[in-house]
Amino acid sequence: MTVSGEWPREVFLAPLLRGLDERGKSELVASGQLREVAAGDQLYQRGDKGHALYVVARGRLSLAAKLRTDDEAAEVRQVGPGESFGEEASIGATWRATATASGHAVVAEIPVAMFRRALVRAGGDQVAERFERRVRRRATAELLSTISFTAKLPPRDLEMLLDGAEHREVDRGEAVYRSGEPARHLWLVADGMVQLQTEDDERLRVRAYLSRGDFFGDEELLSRSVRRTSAIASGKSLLVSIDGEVARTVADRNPDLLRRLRRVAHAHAQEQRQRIGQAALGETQHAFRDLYRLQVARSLLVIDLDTCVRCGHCAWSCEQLHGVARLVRRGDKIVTRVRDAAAPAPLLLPNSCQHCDNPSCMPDCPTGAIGRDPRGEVFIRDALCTGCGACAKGCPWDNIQIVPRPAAAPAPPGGIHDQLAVKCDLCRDYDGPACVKACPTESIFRLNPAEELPDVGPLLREGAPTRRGARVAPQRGPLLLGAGLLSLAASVVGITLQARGHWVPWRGIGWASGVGAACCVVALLCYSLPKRLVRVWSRKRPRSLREGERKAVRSLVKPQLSFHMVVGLLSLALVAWHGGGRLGGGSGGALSLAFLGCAFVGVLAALSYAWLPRHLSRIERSAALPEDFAPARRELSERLYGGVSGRSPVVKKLFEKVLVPYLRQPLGWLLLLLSGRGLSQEQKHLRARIDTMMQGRGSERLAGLDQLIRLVVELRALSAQRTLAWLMRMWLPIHVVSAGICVALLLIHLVEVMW
Amino acid sequence: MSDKQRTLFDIRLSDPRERRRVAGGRTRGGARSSHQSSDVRRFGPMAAGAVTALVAVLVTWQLRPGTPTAGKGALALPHSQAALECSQCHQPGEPEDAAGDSCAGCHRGHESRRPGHRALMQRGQLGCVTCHDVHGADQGVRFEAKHGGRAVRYGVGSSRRVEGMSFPSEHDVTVPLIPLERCAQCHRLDEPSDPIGRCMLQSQRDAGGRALNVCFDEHQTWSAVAPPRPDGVCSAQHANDRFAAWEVARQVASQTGTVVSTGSDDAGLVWLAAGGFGAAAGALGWVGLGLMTRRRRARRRERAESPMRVADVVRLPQVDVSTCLGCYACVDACPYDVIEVERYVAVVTQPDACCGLTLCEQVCPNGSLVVTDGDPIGDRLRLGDDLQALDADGIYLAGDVTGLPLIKNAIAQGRQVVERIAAELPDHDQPLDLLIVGAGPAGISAALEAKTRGLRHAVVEQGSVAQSIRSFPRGKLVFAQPLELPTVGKLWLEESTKEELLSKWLRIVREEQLVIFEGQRFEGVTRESGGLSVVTVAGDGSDRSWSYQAARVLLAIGRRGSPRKLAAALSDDTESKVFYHLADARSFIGDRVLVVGAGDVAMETVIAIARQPETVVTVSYRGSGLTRGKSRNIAELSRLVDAGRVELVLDSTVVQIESDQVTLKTPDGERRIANDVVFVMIGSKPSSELLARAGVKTANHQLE
Repeated sequence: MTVSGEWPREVFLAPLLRGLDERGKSELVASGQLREVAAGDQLYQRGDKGHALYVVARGRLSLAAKLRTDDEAAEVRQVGPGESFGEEASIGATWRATATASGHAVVAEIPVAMFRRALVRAGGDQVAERFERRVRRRATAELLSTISFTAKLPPRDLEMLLDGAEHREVDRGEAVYRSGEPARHLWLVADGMVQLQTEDDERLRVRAYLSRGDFFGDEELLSRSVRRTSAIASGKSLLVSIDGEVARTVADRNPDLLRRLRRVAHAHAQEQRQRIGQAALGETQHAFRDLYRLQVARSLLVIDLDTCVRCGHCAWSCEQLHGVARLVRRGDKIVTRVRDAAAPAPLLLPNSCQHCDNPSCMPDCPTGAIGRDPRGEVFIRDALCTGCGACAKGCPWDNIQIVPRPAAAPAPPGGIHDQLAVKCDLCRDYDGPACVKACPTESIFRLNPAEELPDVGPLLREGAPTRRGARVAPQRGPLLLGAGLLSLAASVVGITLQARGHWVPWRGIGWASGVGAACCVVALLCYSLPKRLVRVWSRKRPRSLREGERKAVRSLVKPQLSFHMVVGLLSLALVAWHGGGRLGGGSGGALSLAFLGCAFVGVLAALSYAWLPRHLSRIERSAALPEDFAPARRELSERLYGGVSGRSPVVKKLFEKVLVPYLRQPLGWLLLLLSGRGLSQEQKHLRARIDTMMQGRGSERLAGLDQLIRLVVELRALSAQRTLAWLMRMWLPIHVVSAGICVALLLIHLVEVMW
Repeated sequence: MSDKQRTLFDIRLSDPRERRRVAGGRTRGGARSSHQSSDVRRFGPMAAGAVTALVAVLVTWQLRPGTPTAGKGALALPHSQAALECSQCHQPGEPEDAAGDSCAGCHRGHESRRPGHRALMQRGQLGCVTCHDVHGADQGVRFEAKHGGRAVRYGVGSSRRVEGMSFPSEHDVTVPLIPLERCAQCHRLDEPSDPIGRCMLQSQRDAGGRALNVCFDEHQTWSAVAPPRPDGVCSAQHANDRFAAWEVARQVASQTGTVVSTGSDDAGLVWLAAGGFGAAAGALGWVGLGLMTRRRRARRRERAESPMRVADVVRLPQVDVSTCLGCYACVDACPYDVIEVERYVAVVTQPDACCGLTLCEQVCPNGSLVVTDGDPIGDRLRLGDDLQALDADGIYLAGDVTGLPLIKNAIAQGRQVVERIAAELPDHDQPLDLLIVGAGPAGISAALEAKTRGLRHAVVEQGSVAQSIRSFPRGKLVFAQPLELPTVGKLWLEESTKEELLSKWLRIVREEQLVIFEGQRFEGVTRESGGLSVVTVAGDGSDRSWSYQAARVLLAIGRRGSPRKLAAALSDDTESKVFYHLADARSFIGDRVLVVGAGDVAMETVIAIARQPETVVTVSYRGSGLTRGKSRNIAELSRLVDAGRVELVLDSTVVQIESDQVTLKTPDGERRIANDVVFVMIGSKPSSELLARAGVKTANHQLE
């Protein structure tokens, strides 16, 4: 539990914090927090990941760990007031001991990044270095004892390794080594992800993904050859390097161990390759392109493109609630199975915070404004945010944006601070994410990739619990079809009966159906209200509930839309009963006509919503907003014509004779849609056409052709995408405007009838 | 890697700028600022469109043509003005066509003057509605007393005023008209024996059934008009002037023919169309208005943002270390790497490179960094407000050479200078109005503007077009603002790489067909008979030279000057293997490369080439260690040397370059190295020499 108020003096008496200046102390107080732990409660658990170190303010805590020789966890040490613990977090390692309160205790939680900043700025380099060296050696020992490679080594060998081990932190995209370099170290992954890749023909091929506990670089080291692959960090990673000589010595002394481990690693790589190969087969975009993203994401916002109708309600509702849309419907696309679903679904990962396991924005924040709550949700404290933009630059996926600071938002003291960093905070002040609640098709949802993506989950975190059960979306097709048929039949009956003079519009049944139809129009209009009043229906959550488990949130708009569609269909029958099918003659006829038109457009919209998304998602490599199409076309064309230069005459001839006609073919996009092929299939198809044409001649001079094929297919797909997206979006404005006309005519009609 | 770099607190590892190097060597730009996508934007206009439609239809209803047709079955003007209810004529339960008797309720007995009709009426075979088709044709003319007896021609659900025809009277006068088709129910119009057929005029015959029966004596004779009746709707109708009213009505009818009732079936559509049109027009107007304001605002902002001159004094950022957050905002904003962050605090590391703009100050989140004025700049060029050299008339400067950095500013200056030149150009007899020296951003912008303004102009460039961009100080350009080029319009460069910018640039030059003479180096300018004569020499070292006569000269030569060359002589066949800048590292795959020099440009070249497969890279440097340049370049180069990808030959000079090898002089004696390509990156001759030759002086000169 968090305690507010001044930090006790004891905290700053801790040896670790003595070197801090006043500014540093106040920064720690602002960004850290005091936590109260009841007797017997755990502050953190061994093996979890931390971003803070602790100093005891009052009471005592016991740190217990399971040592290598013991079967059960035993107390390692007791900490009392003024003592610090949990320093291993400062190097990104997991906690080595479980911290339990012996009695009622209060501890100060200090974000590591802030601590480091404050210490270095205050001139505490010496202290910091000593402290860090100590922590590091301990953490390395801990790490080695958990990694399969070293866990079974005799203690003397382990000590030897420890002496030859060094830590290295690598950032996303940074090379650990590149192919062709001499092999000098053996590498262990302590945290993060490293990919072994080769680059040939401008194409990057990933040979293996390595995560915590894996080792690499051993083969070249032992065979004393140069590196055959490049090792690139997929994301911010912590590695342990072991000097080559030491590694060789240890390997010589334990030949069996290494051989066995290699076998395990080989099998592991085989399995990985098979898994990836299977998932990547025939898909436009597989899930492994940015595996690191899935590894660190705790709560990844995804949009199922097979059902998403590109209406943008998610971003819109976010904007309604927060003033600025914290989610932009652009981003990478992955195709993978979700939970138990049989077929892979195309998922868009929009620009929205994914609440990383080790957020790279957090250490970048100079004031510690970015925090992470016990559930792992990352949030920004407005009162500490200076709007400097360091976090936004640090996020590899551009999920943080800088906005003008709203008048109501608190600001740090001093300075102007007219800007603010914002990102998705899962609507933590409200009872559920507005985007999820506002989705008319229930396409947007959050998931934890390690638990809910069976294809990639096993590669990401060992032993992560898998969540089962398919995402069930109730089908509304039959309901709507029934309502439509019912409405049609009723309309025919109504028109016939009125034509035969059984009733007149202004009396009896006719009058009643007219009143009913008017009520329906009001009900139909009401559909537009909740979406515009997000602020009203999003209830603030009481602060006390914010730390509890979140309930799963479902879309509110989806049932509303179903209701809207059913009422719309049924009201058509009421209109027919009232007006007797007359589409003209005074305001009544005009109203009937306008309503029919409005309903017709609505039905077209519904049909396009039902049919088009699937076809669209098949030919997309990433989702785009309508305004992105024109720049994308320009860029693709530029790359295409730039890509032709420098190619062999054969390729140029093929470009002129096959690819350009393919590109210029009228209604080519329609052919692509009708063929039912995905992008990569279309590429293969086109390549096969060229191969038949060439009959094996000049195949050695076709370098770069595949790249051109890829570009022309994407250009053709772009037209198709634009058309489909337009087809999906065009109905709504017409529907809305014709609804406005209907309302006006209804008013006129009422005025005329009543007076 | 040194020990320092392995420690936890080393800047390199926790440096967000380093982190932004993502796979592929691309660095990302600044922080993403908020941006409204179409997802958010479009709902406003949609709601506005709906409201506009609503209002438009309501307004259309108010302005709709003609009179309203009562909702329950259409009626003509007199009956709808009398606000008849259905129940006044129709009894519940009776068939609809049996309402004929009800007319007498208001109109009293109007028995027919004709015996035949009278007999039929008595037998019940003829009623009022047999001839007066109340819901169908119901034609007539009404003279409105209120408007001076103005004639209104009406049909069912529709009416229209007839200009120039009136029948002034104290009361409204209504003259019903019967279409002949009503008579045709009993009469045979084409039969000469039939009374109606006999009386029909040729014009009526031509008009067929829709012609009007103009025999007004059905209910009374011409001679005997009954005295006014005291009650009923007809009390005002049957005055003595009835004949006259008939006569006018006859004329009105002959002018207007039958009135087709637009007020019945088509009215709804007309309204709908009008309303929809109104809505569409309103929505369009709305959108157009929004666009216009946005454009106007953008233009105003741009105008406010186009600085022409640089500050006269040295300006340097001052950092308050007690409040500096170490957030890198200023570091990222600075185009010349003046500021770096050390120990989480920003420090000024290259004060000489400071450009004096306050880009860093603008982004500092808490005001810890302030740019302050210092001493006057000594080597600032003496320029007037119009960027004309104060000491050399007719010579103008634009772009980096003026001391104002950024491509955006160069483009603005190029445009503005040419605007000024065009406005102030005197009459002259030179072949050229303007000679532009340099085809960088400022030069091209100036050439485009000159083309727009119809100036006779030419551009000379010592290398090739936009060479300054090819070797721009940063490998990666980041622009958040649009660049407004003359005639071409906006060039929006958001996160564009050098290569992208270059390709756009070259395309513009190609499309606009600019006259650019490449490979001619500016040598000097002389004053000749009212004009300026510019001499250029071949850039490749041959002794060709050209001369241009122009009224005005614009020097947009940048700050790079010309690359310094090696002392070693080059023959014709070795000339082609020597490069002075790196365009594309990929084209050197598999080559043995020698890079001469170890400055930032040289180190960046080495790093880029060493990343290509199968390259053998040697660096020759006359110094004895890597000291100059950015720390991250030095670190990366050291790493490559450690990894054996690059060989570093210190204390060496190039003695000889042959087609397949080079000879280096080292302290250990001469050394031959097999080689395919040589990069010479030993700095450049500053452009100030050129300027001095052109007569452009600096403030220091002036003092001397």
